Amino acid sequence: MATVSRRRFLELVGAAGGSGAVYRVASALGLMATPGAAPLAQLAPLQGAKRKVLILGAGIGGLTAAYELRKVGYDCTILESSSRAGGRNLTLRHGDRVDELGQTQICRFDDNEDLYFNAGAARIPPDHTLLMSYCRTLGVELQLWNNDNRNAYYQDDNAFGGKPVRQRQYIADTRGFMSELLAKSVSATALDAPISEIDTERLLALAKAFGDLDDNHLYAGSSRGGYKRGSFVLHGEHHTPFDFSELMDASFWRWAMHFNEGSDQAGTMLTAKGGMDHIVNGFMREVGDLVKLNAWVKGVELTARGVRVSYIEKGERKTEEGDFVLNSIPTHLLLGLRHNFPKDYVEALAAPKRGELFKMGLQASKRFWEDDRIYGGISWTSQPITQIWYPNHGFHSEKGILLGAYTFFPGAGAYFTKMTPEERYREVLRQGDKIHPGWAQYIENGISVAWHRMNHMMGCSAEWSGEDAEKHFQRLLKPAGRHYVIGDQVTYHTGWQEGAMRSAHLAMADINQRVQAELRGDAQNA
Amino acid sequence: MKTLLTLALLTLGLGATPSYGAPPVDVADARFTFCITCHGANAQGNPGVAAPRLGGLPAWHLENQLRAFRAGWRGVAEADEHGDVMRTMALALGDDAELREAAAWAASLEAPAPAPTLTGGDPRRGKTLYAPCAACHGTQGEGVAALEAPPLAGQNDWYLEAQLEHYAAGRRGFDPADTRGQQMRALAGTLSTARDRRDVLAYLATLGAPAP
Repeated sequence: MATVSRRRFLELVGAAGGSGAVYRVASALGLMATPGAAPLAQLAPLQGAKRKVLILGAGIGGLTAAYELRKVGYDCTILESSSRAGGRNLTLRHGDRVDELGQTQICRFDDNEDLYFNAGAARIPPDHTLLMSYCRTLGVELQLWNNDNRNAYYQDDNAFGGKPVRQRQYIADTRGFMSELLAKSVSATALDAPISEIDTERLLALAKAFGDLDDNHLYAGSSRGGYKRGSFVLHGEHHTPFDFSELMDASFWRWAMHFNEGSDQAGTMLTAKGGMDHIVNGFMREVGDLVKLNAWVKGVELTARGVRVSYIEKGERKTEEGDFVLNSIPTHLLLGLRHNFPKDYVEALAAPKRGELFKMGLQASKRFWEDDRIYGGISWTSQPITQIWYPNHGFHSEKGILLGAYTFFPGAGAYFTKMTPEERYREVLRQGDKIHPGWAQYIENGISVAWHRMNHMMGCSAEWSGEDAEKHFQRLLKPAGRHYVIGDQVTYHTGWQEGAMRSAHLAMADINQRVQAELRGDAQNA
Repeated sequence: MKTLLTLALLTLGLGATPSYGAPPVDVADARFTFCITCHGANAQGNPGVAAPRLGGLPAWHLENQLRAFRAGWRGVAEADEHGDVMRTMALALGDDAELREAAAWAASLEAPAPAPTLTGGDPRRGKTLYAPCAACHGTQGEGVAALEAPPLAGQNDWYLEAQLEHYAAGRRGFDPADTRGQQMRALAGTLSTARDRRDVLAYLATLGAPAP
């Protein structure tokens, strides 16, 4: 029997079964073991048939759809109301305009490619495999993102006299006290079956290791919390533990201390090197010619055969009809279009509420935080600014861009957005001074983005209440006629690029099925 | 006395510029198209961001509203965040001429009349409750320019309900300089329950949008 090379074998499979078959066989052969290397929707090439897809919005969801659909022969147009592609993937650099309604700002960072601020999407969890696969395909270089830095601070107006404490100290002490309690309860009570004597020993050992207890299973401070003095050539003296009641007075333990335990918000993450918008640029290299900027959609009308979209481009009213529409317009703005959607669809569109997230970037003349042993990561505070982020690149260079505020708790959005940009800047500097006393001397300028005030968006990540999600979420995953809502807004993980991509794939998979069924019908009728 | 004087001055002001909307209006005026980001792509109002219908409203009322926002009579109360967005926009308009042009532009938009969205109101009871309102807003809810009382018929019912709640809670009509608002605040007190408000709105929904 003649041997067939694996490459030749795949070619034969491809000829017989199409690209999807190649992928499945290649996976079976272990040739494509990289996780997430395959997009979800396996789209069959149109092979000469004509199908028009109108994509509303050139954010990550819309760009993903155009990229995939074009590859298999669909005729795509993206209508984008703003003057740029990317949606909430927005990297700000020298001279960029922030199109906040009524309060336009210009970014005054120095003209330097290292000085940028990811005002929207900023980090990528390794578990977001579809986004990873697109980064690989589009040649977007990645770098590590430190989402968990024990040397960064926690500051709480209600504890430690309002002074910032290193997270390592807080976490070491909290774990120490908890472990001590566990050790006591394990020793004091004969544990019921099925915990045997040997397990009791192991539990004690776990408690000791988890909290760094001494040989008597007591917590007397730990080098994990850092040293008061010494440590290398001088004897290291670690901090005296905080009073347990003081640790409890602080609110760090309630949530922020465990922020990085998730798979979305992980300790170790990634980001696009040089700015998150390199992902947008990667897509635009492939499908930029399909994007019409400054094209404002005014109406979406379901017709017998497709969907009719009316829009204004350069002051001119235009209409286009597509076989399908993939619509990533935020649902709260979609409700304001002229449409003929069915009642249950409209009710579902009204269910998600617009998010009100706010971020501010600051340019520092000196990387003072690195002198304080902080390289990347996040400081937390109980004040409205909530977080300070330190840059994950350009260590030891002259200047750097900090995130000076990121408010995302429900109801907190109005705090900064009610202010003028100048007032926001002053207030962020005032609050941050409690974490880095005197930092204002190094801060040269700032730029703020209030997503629910941004022109063409008027909202950040959609917020679904549990009840609304139960009632309406599934409805929005299904089309109305040939109209599909896409974007991170129709996912269980709103606010992630992965969600925008996954929702686009879900819609494309459905379109693919319908089109294939239509084409089979045509063939039978022929 | 002071109130009366203010009212008289306002009325004089009105008389001095009788030609509201007189400059020719370009509906595609790029200076103002951002308004439809919130107010609905056809200026018909958008419940998604609580922004009311603009099309079909008279320019004098839109102008009054813009001035009220600029003066801090609207959109400054703690629980009026939607109003705060609008206040920022009103303040962002340039001089008085641009404000008038913005109002004329919005008034020129052709917005479809909104369908009622509120349920549970009793229009017959609402008709009785509306009697004192008609003195200013007109028997058909068509609005009365001389009294600077805006049309109510043809406005989004969810918007009117929210405004009645704002008046009742003192989030509108709190500033003594805002004489029209103060008057409305007092009268909103006569619709003291959510049921009263629903009933009046149910009645207004029967009137249909006035001809522009």
